[in-house]
Amino acid sequence: MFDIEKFISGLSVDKAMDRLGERFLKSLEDETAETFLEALLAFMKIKFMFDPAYRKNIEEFRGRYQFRSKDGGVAVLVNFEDGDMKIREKTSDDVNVTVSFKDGRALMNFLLSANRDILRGLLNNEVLVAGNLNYMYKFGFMANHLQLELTGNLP
Amino acid sequence: MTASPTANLTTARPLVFDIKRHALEDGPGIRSTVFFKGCPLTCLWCQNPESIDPGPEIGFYPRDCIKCGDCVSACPVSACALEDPFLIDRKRCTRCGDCVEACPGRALRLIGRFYPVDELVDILLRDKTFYEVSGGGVTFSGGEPTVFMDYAAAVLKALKDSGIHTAIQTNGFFAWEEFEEKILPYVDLIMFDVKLADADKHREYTGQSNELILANLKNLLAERPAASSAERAEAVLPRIPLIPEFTATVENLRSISDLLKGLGVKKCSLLPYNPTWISKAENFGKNVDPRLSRYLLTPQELKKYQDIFSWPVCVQRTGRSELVTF
Amino acid sequence: MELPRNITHYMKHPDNPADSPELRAGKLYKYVMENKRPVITDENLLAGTTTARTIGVVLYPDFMALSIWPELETISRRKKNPFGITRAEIDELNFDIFPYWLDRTIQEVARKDNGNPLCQRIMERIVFYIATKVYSISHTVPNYAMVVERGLLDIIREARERELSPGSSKEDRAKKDFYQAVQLSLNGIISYAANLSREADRLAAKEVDTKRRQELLEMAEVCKRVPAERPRTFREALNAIWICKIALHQENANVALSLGRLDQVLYPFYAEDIKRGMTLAEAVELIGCFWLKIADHVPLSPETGEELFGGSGSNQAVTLGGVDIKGADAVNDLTYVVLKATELLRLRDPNVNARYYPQVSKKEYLDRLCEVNINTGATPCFHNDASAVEALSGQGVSLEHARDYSSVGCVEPSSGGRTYGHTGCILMNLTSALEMALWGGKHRLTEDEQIGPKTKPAVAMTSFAEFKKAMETQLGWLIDQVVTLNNNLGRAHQEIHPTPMLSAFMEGCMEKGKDVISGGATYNSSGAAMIGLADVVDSVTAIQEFVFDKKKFTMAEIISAINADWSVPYKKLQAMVKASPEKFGTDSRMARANADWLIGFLHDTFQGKENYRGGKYTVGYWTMTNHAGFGALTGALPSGRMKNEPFASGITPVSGSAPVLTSCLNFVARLDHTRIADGHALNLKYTPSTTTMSRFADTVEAFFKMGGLQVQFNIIDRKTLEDARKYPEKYPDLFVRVSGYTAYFKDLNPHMQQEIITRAEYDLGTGEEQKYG
Ligand code: SF4
Ligand code: SF4
Repeated sequence: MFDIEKFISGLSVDKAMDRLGERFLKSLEDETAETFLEALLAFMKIKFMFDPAYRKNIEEFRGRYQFRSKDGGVAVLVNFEDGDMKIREKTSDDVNVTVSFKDGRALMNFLLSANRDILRGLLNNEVLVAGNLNYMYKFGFMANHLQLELTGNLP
Repeated sequence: MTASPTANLTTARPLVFDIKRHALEDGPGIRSTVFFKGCPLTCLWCQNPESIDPGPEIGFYPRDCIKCGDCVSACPVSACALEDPFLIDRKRCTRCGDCVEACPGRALRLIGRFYPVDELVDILLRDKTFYEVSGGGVTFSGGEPTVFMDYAAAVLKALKDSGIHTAIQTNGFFAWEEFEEKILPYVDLIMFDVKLADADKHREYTGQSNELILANLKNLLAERPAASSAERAEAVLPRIPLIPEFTATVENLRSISDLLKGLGVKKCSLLPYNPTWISKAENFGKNVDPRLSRYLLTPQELKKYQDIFSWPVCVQRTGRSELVTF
Repeated sequence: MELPRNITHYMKHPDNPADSPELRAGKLYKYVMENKRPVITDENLLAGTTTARTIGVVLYPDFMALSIWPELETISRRKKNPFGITRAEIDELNFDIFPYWLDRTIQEVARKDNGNPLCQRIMERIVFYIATKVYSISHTVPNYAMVVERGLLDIIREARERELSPGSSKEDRAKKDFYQAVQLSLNGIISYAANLSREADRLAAKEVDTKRRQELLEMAEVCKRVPAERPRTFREALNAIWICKIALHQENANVALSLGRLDQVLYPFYAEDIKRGMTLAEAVELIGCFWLKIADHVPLSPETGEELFGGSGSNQAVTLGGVDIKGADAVNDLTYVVLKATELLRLRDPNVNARYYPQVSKKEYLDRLCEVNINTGATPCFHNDASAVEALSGQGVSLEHARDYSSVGCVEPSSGGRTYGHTGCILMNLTSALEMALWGGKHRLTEDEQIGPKTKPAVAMTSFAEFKKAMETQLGWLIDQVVTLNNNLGRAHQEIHPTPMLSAFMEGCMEKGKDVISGGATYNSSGAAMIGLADVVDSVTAIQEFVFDKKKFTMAEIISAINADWSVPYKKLQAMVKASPEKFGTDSRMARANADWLIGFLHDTFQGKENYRGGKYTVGYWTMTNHAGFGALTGALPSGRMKNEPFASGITPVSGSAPVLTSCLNFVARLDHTRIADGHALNLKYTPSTTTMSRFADTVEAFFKMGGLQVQFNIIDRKTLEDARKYPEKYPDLFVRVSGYTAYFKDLNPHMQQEIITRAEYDLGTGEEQKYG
């Protein structure tokens, strides 16, 4: 699922980044946004690998994030450490923050301020965050930044 | 003692159709006003048409209706119909009250409720603090509160015992001796309606002659051992309703002015016409005389009428119109 | 930006990493104040600004600043309260400032210290309660009398003397650290004032307008003297208070950091100046300058917060009038000057609170208060001294101190300058306990999760007593949680965020040698505000009346009805429930008994808890905008209320269910105010055209004579409000009473606008609630 190397093999870095960026944007339009998390993380990872300006966000940063769907179908552990981002399909309690979400759309609604419907998210009990909220805020910044950059909306 | 002129009404149980609390227009200060049901006169401009009949009536409040239809099935004589904007065909309705019982909300209400003396007094005493700080009290209105002399007397006495300022608004159509004995000792202010100076017109528009009324006014203002003339002048406030084309004519007002002057009246008040009651009356299925105006009086008209009187006149606000004090 | 930059800089490079929290704080604020840019804004006679801009946003890195991190790059373009920020500032926050605080905010320190406790996880579900210590502790009244009567140098002198006293136990050393922290931070304030003075001189030198030049030169003189020394003039006194207030804004987010009895504190200076020839117009102008100054900063909250709970200002209360410590009438000329300034400016801040003592205060004063209400439509609010003094005395405050109370934030009475009462530390949603009582400890928003204790599901209950018992169990549990959380957060503040400046301006701290957060003040308490009182009382009463007394329908039916949001098959049930006269705010005995029970239970349970400083918890009924926010998250209720509708505000009846003004006032006045020691807000709306001053005053007087604690008004009709919602541009300055404070209508979120529009409106002429729709 997160085998980026395979995905980009044979492509130039620029091309691969474009491809993953497009995939991320496309995942937002989909009704259920099922692929949102995967597309976001994949794009994030390639950005960290090849975009030094973006990588600055995780230099000297250590943070472990657990994302999981409420039905248990998805469980992803994301580990940032010294400028590197590792994505693994597993669960762990040793994390800074855990995000449980109903579906991709709910997670997107929660993370991206441009696509947000706060009340709906809360009313439907769509996303639950447990642990250190500040780590979530940081992740939120990094995710929003990607979307704003792709859509040419950075301030 | 002469027989009560309202004997035919008094046999009914006294019903109250509304208790208005925090009333500011029915006498000094903050007051509670009790509206009695039943009136010996039938003024065709009556603004509280639900108050003339001494029996209970059914009121329909369309805003509270959820159109559930329970009243339709409850009515034994098929007088209710959802298609009818007034809901009830008043000609058929026997006022049995079944539909009121059936209505889940408050869209149908029984107008006119009997309160035991204690209960009414209890309700009126709840706002005692408001009366005290504002120099207010309780006002009896109607309908005609003197229709139920014994009942009114019992309540008024209890209020006086609690130190409450009391007032009544009366059309003056009552038996003097009974009034003097039962009511007069317990009221601090009598607001006394003077409608038409001409006896025939009075009979035509209100159903009764004004002889008894004027005699009672004279009695009230005459020497009484207990009261100084200044006190009497304070305690009796003649009120003249200004009904366009009926009472609000220069001729009638001149005559009333002369009459009151002759009686030594120093102050009276004018009640400007307020047509908002017309739609309310229609909710009760009452017919409204087409001669009645549907407009408020203009300030010019008011000024003209006020100028007829040669002593201080206060124009009272009624309903929602503006307060004008001259 | 200046503040988070300076705080972060100092924390990364502390003088001595081994310093105690107190000492570190003293050095930190000295650094912050010394490095604060002196800003003098045009057209104001007072010097100094909270931020480096004329009006700015303040970010507190260890409080909630990080919550805007996700929105940093969109915040300048958001619809509600956008906030201009440059690329360089975004980068500085994102790369340099915020990362340092990831594990160092109050919230996260409390979480770590207590092993991510349940109480904190419950708060994150939003619908149960909010513990506000995560963003500030400033809900209190500092002792500004101390500032103007003594000057900071004298306070520093006292701290130095006390520091020198012998003793070397651990406790003595902690005290010495505290005294040092006071000296350090107050010296920081004095440096800031000196910088302001130099800046005023500099500006004066290049000013061409002779009048402004003169003003600047005077300003330089003023800041040379105050707040170090005792002020000599009215203007110096105001500027002294303002500079100290600026300092307090650096130490803590301004959440209802209130001003106290300004007409009392400033009167000697005012009277002196009037004797020396100051005109009334000049006095009004100075007060006006101060009013404009205190609103020179805005809180910044993320979109979620804005949408649900936004629209409030910083809610700084000023208190006027009332009696003095001996019980004599304290209204003076300055009281009227302040009222005049309030009437002319119609500002959101400060929130003006007028005290009135029936039989002691003069009738002209009450008339004037009513007149200002009619002219401004919304201010000041009215407090009844007799009841407030009684309520405070019940909490162990001495009679003289109780008489010297002032309002904090919305409405909370507090003996100002000597009480650290964090009167708004808890905001609890009462309807969440009702839900849990209905569903055996579960809540509709959190679905199948067992949140509260497992009580018998309501459908299986056979008596009303059983239902009340379940309510008590759920409420008791909720109170346990929220109190534990507040205490955890309080200890986190002790550990990382002592407040030497606030402590310097608080009676008691100097004697005890302790920070306010550690219990230094003379009086210590914590205040919890309850949201949704009338909705819960009406719901409980409906259950009693229809399910248990009249047995008109079953609990199961009510539950199905509210699950279906009172939709079609349940419209009749809803009509029945709504038509019942058994409602909060009427003559209903049943509703009254339920209100007394609930208020009694909450008071007794909270009073049984101790806070982290050894003080007690008090309970109040005021809601700010939370009744709309919590309402938006809450489903239909047994009272007939529909899903997402705002709750009634404060201690106000539900709109449409208390049709008679005198009954409503009676009902509220006769609630036991000694069990409402954290104040209440009764919000009434009057139709403007019927509001005459003398009857208005009589109504307030009667309410107070019956024991009412507080009341406030909007004098505006529904049509105007509806128009203002449609065409906000037509009403830029329309301000309304929210709950305990005023706000600009246009700034309110849609839920709150709706609540104000539909709020019960009484025709003062007939005493009846106006019906619409
Ligand atoms: S009162 Fe009786 S007769 Fe009249 S409409 Fe109602 S149910 Fe029918
Ligand atoms: S029973 Fe009441 S609510 Fe139902 S239709 Fe009749 S009047 Fe309307």
